[in-house]
Formats: sequence, C-alpha cells, structure tokens
Amino acid sequence: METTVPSSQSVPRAKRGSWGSLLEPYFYLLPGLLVFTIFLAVPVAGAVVLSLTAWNGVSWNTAAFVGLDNYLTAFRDQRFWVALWHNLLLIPYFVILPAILGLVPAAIVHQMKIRGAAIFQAGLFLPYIMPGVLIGVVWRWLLNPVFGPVNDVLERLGFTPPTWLGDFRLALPTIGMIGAWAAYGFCYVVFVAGMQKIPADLYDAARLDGANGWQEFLAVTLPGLRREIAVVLSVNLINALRAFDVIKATTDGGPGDRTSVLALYMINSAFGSNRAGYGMAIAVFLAVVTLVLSLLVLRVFGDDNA
Amino acid sequence: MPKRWIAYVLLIVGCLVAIVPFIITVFASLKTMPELVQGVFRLPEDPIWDNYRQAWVQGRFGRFFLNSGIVAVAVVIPSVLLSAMTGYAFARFKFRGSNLLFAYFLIGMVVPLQAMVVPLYYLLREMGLLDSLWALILPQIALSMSFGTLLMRQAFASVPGEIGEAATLDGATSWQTLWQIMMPLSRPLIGTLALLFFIWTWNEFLLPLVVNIDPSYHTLPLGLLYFQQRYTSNLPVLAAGATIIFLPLTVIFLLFQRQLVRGLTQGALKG
Amino acid sequence: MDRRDLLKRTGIVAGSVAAGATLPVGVSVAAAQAGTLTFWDTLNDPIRGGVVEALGDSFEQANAGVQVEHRGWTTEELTSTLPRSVEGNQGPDVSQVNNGESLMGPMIRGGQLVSLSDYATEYGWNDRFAAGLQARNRYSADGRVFGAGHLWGISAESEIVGFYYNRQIFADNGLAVPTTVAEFETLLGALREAGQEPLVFGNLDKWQAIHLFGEIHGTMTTREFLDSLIYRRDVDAPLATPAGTLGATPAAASVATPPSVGFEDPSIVNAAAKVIEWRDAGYFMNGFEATSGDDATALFTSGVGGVLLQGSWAAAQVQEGLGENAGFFLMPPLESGGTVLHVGGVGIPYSITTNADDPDLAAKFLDHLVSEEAFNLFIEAGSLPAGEIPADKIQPNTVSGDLYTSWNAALEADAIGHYLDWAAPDFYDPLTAALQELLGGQMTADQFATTLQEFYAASFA
Repeated sequence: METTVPSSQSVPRAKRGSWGSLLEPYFYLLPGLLVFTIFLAVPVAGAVVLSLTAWNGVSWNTAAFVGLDNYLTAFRDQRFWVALWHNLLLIPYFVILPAILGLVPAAIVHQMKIRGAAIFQAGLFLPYIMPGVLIGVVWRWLLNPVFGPVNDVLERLGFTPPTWLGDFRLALPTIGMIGAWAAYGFCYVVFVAGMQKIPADLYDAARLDGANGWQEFLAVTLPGLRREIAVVLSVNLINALRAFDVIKATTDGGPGDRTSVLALYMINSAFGSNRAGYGMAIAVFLAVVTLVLSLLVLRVFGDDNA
Repeated sequence: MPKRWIAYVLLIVGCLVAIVPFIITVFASLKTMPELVQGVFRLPEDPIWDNYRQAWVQGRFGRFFLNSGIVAVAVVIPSVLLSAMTGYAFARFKFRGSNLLFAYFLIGMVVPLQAMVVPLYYLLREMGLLDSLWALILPQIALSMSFGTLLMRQAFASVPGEIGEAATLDGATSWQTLWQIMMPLSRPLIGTLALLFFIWTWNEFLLPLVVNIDPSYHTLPLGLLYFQQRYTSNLPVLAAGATIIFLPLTVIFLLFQRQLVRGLTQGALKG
Repeated sequence: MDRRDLLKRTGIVAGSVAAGATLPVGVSVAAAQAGTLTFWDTLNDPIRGGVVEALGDSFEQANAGVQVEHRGWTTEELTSTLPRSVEGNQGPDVSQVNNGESLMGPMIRGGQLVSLSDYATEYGWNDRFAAGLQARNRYSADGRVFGAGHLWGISAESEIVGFYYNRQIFADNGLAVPTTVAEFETLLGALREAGQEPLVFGNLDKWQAIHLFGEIHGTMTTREFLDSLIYRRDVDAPLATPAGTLGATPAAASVATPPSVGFEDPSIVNAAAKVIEWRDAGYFMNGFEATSGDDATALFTSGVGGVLLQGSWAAAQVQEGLGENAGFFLMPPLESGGTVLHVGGVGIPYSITTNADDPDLAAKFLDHLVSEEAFNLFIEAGSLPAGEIPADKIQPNTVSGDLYTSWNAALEADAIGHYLDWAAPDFYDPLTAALQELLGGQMTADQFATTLQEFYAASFA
C-alpha cells in the first residue's frame, strides 16, 4: 500500500508567528463548535449524568444518584455481554463486506471508463436512500419462507432453503447481509467521489510502466483512496456497533437472543423496561468503545492527525 | 476485451440486487394485502392507485412534505459550510488540542441518538424551541457536524500540499485558500457530503418524534411511522407512503449525480 | 354479572364532584387552556379513533364552553411521550396509560396520575364493570401493590385472544369447531393431512408466542394460580373488590415478598411440553418462526390456513378478508365443560393526569368514554367494548357475532386471564426469548420453566 503514494500526503502548516495566526484555526472551528456543543455535547453530557442515576425514565423522583452502579450492573449482566458479542460478530458484515461491495464497482466504473456509468451509479446507490425502517420490512418479505421470492427461487432449483431470520444459526448472518446491502451504497459514493481527485497522470504513468487493470488498482486507486477508506471503515464500524433499525423491524433480537445487540438492549432497557439510567449507561459504554475503535481505524490508515 | 464483459455482468447483477427491494415496494404499493402475500413478485392484477391517494390525504403527507423540504435545505447548506470550516481547521493547521477537539467532534457519531434525545428534549424545552422547525434544524446541524468534519478533514488533507503552498506564496489568506481553492478542488466530495446530509435529514424520524408533539411540525418519516401504526394491517398503503418518501430522494440523487458523473467523464483532475 | 347492572347508568352529575382532599391533584400550569380538554390514546386508526373523536364532539355539545382535543399515538410512542410531557407540564388532561409496571405503576409512584376511586363511587363504575377486570386498573395509593386498592384508570374496550377459522376450509374437510383440546388437536391434524396450513401464526416478531403459550396454559391452570402469579402476591380468592372499600388499601403482601406460586409449576411445564408436542405433530404453519404476526394474519385473511391465532382486535381485518367465511372460537377446555383462562383483559385504561386543569371535568369525560353511547359506537365499529354485549347486538354466524358470544361466555365464567409478560417488570424479553428457544427446540419444557422462574424470582430481589 505504501508503494507509489501520489504526491505529498502532507499538508501545508500555517507558519508559527503572530498571535493572530495562532488563533486562526480556532476561528474556523468556532461556529461549528458552538452549534455542536449546545445541541449535541450538552445533551450527551446530560445522558452521561443520567447514566449515574437510577432514573426510570418516567418520573424525576426516581433519578437518585447511584454512582457507577449501572456500569457495574452491566458488566455483571449476561444479556449485556451477549449483545456486545453479537455486535462484534456483525463487524465483518457491516464493515468489511460493504466496503468491498462499494469499492469493486466504483473501481470498475472509474478505471474501465464504463459506458452508461450514470445508470449503474444510480442503481448501485439506491439502497442507501431507503429509510431504515423500510429496509427491515422489505427484506422480511423477500426472505419469508411462505410467500417470499428468495425461498421460492431456491425451492424451484431443488434446494431446501432455511428460514433465514427464524433460524437460530443463520439469523445473525442474515441480518449482517441485510446490513451490508443497506450500507454499501454509502461506501460506493464516497469512493467514487474520492477517485475523482486521483490525478489522471498517475494512471498514465502506471500504464506506461505496463501495469494491467489489477496492478493499476493496487498501485494507484487503492493508495489514492486511503483517506476515504479510513472514513468508510470508521463510519461502518460505528454503524456496526450502533445497529438497531433493521433488527427492530425484523427479528427484534430473536430467535431467542441470537440477534440481540447493544443498541437494542439499551433501548429496550431504557424505554421498554423503565430502566432509563441503566440504558444510558449502556449507551455511554457503547459510545466510548465506538470512539476508541474508530479513532484506532483512522490511525491504522495512516492518519497523521488522529 | 473479455474483462469488460465480466465487468458489465458484475455491474448489472449488482444493480439488480440493489433495485429489487424497491421494485417490490412499488409493486406492493399497488396491490391489496391478500395479493401481496400470494407472491411478492406477482404483478398487481388491478393496480390500486388509490393507495397513494389514501397515503397522501389521510397521512397528511402534503404538510409533512413541505416541512421535510424546509428542514432538509435549512440543514444541508449550513452543515456543509460549517463542516468545511472545521474540516479545514483540522487539515491545515497544527494547533494545541487538535487531536482532542477532533475526538470531541466524533462524539456526535458514536453516541446512540436514542440516548441523547431525552436530555435534548429538556434542553430544547428550556430554550422554548419545542414544537418548531428549529427543534429539528439546529440539532440536526449539530449531528451532521461529526461526519462532516471527518470527511472534510480527509478531503482537504488529501489535496496535494503544493497547491496550498502555492496559494500562500501568491499571498492568498487561508480564508481565500479555503473558499477559492480547496472547495472547488473537493467538489465531488462536497457534493457527496451534501447528498448524504440530505438523505440523513430527510430520513430522520427519531428527532422529530421526540421534540415535536404538534403534528404541524412533523416530517415525512414521522408521518410514515404514524401511518404505519394506523395501517399495520394494510402494508400496501404503507408501501405507497414509503414510495412517496423515497421517490424525491431518488430525484435529488439523480440531480447530484450529474455533478459526480461530470467529473467522471471529463477525466480526473490533473494534479 | 347481570347485563342490567352492567348497563345501568348513573345520571351524569353536572358541576363539581367532590374531589376528595386526599387526591393527588397536582399544581397544574398545564398547556391546556381553560375550557380545553386534551386526551391522548392509542386509537389512531380512522375507525376506533373516529369513535372517540365522535365522543369528544358529543361531549362538547353537552358541555358548553368545553373544547375536546384528541391525539392518537402508537402504543410505543404514547408510552415514551406521556410521562415526559406530564413531567414537563405539557401533558394531556386524560390519557390512556398502560396497565401494570409498564407505565401505570411508575406513573402513580411519580405522582403523575389522579386516583379515580372517588369518581368511581360517584359515577357507579364499580357496579358496571366486572371486578376481576377492574382489578387490572388498581394499585395501592403508593403504587406499590398491583391489582387492589385505588382505581387509577377505566377501560373503554376489552381484549380476548382466540382462534379465527375459515368456514369454507372447515366445510370442505368436514370439520367442526372443537369443544375439547383433544378435538382441537384432531382438527389441526386433519388440516395438515388435507394439505392445509393448520394453525396460522407468526413468531418472527415474538409476541404471538405469548398468546399461544398463554392459551394452552389457560387450559391447565386455575384463577388463583394465574392471579397470584401476575399480581405477584398470594391471592386466595378471586379478586373482587367491593365498591364500599375502594379507598382503602387491602392488607396485601408487599411486592417484595414473592407469592408461593412461580413458573416452576406443573401447569407451566405441561403447557410447554404441549407446545413442543404440537410443533412436532406439525400443527403449526410452516415457516411460522420467520413470519411476522401481521404477515401471518394477512396470510390467513387471504385464504391461507384453517385456523388463525389472534386477538379480538383483528376481527375487522379478518371480516374484511374472508367475509362470511370467517368464524371465531375460544380455546376449548381439556375436558368437556372444563374452564379455560383466556389471554386477554381490559383495553388500555384511560387515566387522569396531574396536568389536568379540572380533574372533575376530566372524570366526567371518562364517564362519557364508557357511556352507553360509547359502548354502542364501539360495537358499530366492530370493536370489543368493555362489558357484556347485549343479545340484540349479536349477529349469529358472523365473525363478530362469534366473538361477542365467546366474550360474553368468558365474562360470565370469569375466564379472562392475563398476558404472561405482566408477571414481572422487564419480563417481555426473557419470556419471548424463552418461548422462541422452546419453539426452536433449543430448550426443554423443564429448562423453560426454570429459566423463567429464575428471572421471576430475581425480580423480587
């Protein structure tokens, strides 16, 4: 990957000097920081505070301070660990698979100068437009063993198809595949946009060196997309750890607890079982894990700032 | 070239897998419920366009459509501009606390929205913003800042260093460099960012659900949610409602896409 | 219960009703303006929502200067929005509040609801509704004991789970409505033989298995056992709270003391074994584990399958799909003449919140929601109102006729059971998960009972 990284990855740094230029970056940050802090960081801080209480989500008179009790409860809660484990099992499906599914067609369209690129582009991106709630409903129909087309086709071909979402072993991988379907369009557009900035002369140079399409991909496209890959992987990772919509609309964590994930457990605890403080603690834990892992991904992909 | 042939097959299969669920939704929206469970792929015998009329009129989708449009525009433009500025700050300057501040911005992506909407509700209540479009716009901009900052930082950081240096030597201030050089150079990514912001805002349903009790300030997905409960037994009408929501997004995407594809066919930028 | 008692209407007491100084009437700076009465519920479909909106209109006409505003929500959203807005003084005057620990208990303990006990005496609600059903809307004054004490809500509708059947398929195969569990099993076996899906239900989204198990368990249990399990304290006799003792909290055991009954009961184990037996015998629809409850209902209404497991709320949908071919029957007893406790109960009750400007007016409106006018409107809408259905409203050989007859019989026999997920706070998840494990062959009947008992016992800790 380090081979022919195009031009300089470094960025011009402002010269150190007057106070004005020292303050310059903060000037750019200020407006965004202000909106972000008021409407996002303050509520998040509120959630952190609530995670230290026994609040039931119904009335404030239950919001007694309990210190780290909720966190300790979570660490002793088997359902919490099962849910976290399922999140980790979803990572290959939610993170790596969509990245590949987005990268391959993007590279094909970009490198091969495919005709009708616009049509393919529109078609491939479409899943990302579908609202999360609807994705679950539609795939529930597609995979239904009684009236769904997937099993219908498999039966005609002579197979005995499984019940997918109702199968104790296959439910989680099935959720994973639906998640990959829902996410790859995002990866695809980010990669397509990122490829636009790769200088064309790098491809010319590679071709002069006698590189074939695959070698061009390895030597030019992939290194040129390094920063987009970092973005895509970290966002996918965040989605894997926050997965909720599709599961809620299909299995609701079942069969048994085989597709239970942290966000679902958090929401069911907080709002279904009136343990809002506990739910907040799970959310905070989840956020910290996610933040650490995504910063790690950004760093692994040679990001000098993170 | 045989490889070209394989490429086309791959792309066509990919498109089919992507599109089939949409076709099913649109088919479903024209069927009766019994027809639907007789076979998802069977064509409706007698397309029921009335499902759309029902969705539009009874779901009050007209009003929600307008709200969704206003909110989306009011979110996307400031979000892109503010993200460009914060992303630029992280990409171009080395300053005290930059790592920490960057991680701070990422908080918006890693905290489950479900956990922070409740405190947000009380915050907006104190500010007197509940039951207004502001209650949707301002938090949504804040939410967008996380991904926007991440993407724009990556975009600006990958602009070849000499370009910025050349501009500085020509006497351009960092402000001029951002808007006159960096932004045009990153046009495909900025277009992508705007598109993604639009989709996220358009499809967001939890935020309006919590902060706006008054239906006058609801957006389309929330309309769909209520509509869904009202018609759990009538999935076709629900499918019609869903189609009303994603069709405009498809149009928006096609408009944005022209920007992206133009870059593509004109050949990549010469560094 | 006598129908005349049920339908006996006390005259509407105009003006102020003694609101008892002990009632937790909150200081209310509510959003509602003077003269506006807002009420929230889960009747968000045009039909049932239309009923309560019509009732709002007639209330406005009878009470000059009063404006009634209705808002229909989804159950889930009402449950999450209501306490937050009452806490923030933005809540409605009247709202449906989910029974039990899901919402009513916590809201009482949070001082967000107004006790209805005095209003119940005033308006004679206690004489009109079956005590066993009213008990589900009762809590002690401090909100710690469920099933007795103050009345905190009244239900305008009822619910009962049973079996819809396809008359055409029954006729084609020479089948008849079963009168015992054994006959039911023979029937389901015959349907399977005939190439029909026998029992249609869908458990992908989990909730229908509670009804399946509850109905089977209902044939093997007793009133005392089930009430004690659900009310979480020993209930020696069927809960009947005489009208006179309403204000007092009976000397019931504290919730922290588990009842002597639990899930490791032969009735639970046997019912679980029966579920496995039925699954192995092929009585369930193929693919039930991967079909959602709503999709299964849609399948049945499109003509698939002989019998559908569903609640009374699906009657209108089944009627629309199958028309004259639809019928309804309740779970038959183990032996002819035996009793079965059916899954069901009261519809989500209406309560008065402490945001209400004028609780007396709100109570008057509650009385209007359970008036004869309301009763008849709900019947016209094909819904199951609270109370016995008069014979002249029952059309034989229709699905609603079957439903009303079944309901009256169950009411008569005090045979309305409970939803098992009420047994403990947070019980829905473990119960539905265990049922899926049981149905999926991942768990034996004994393991099923042990798992649930562990969770049940822990909920008293």
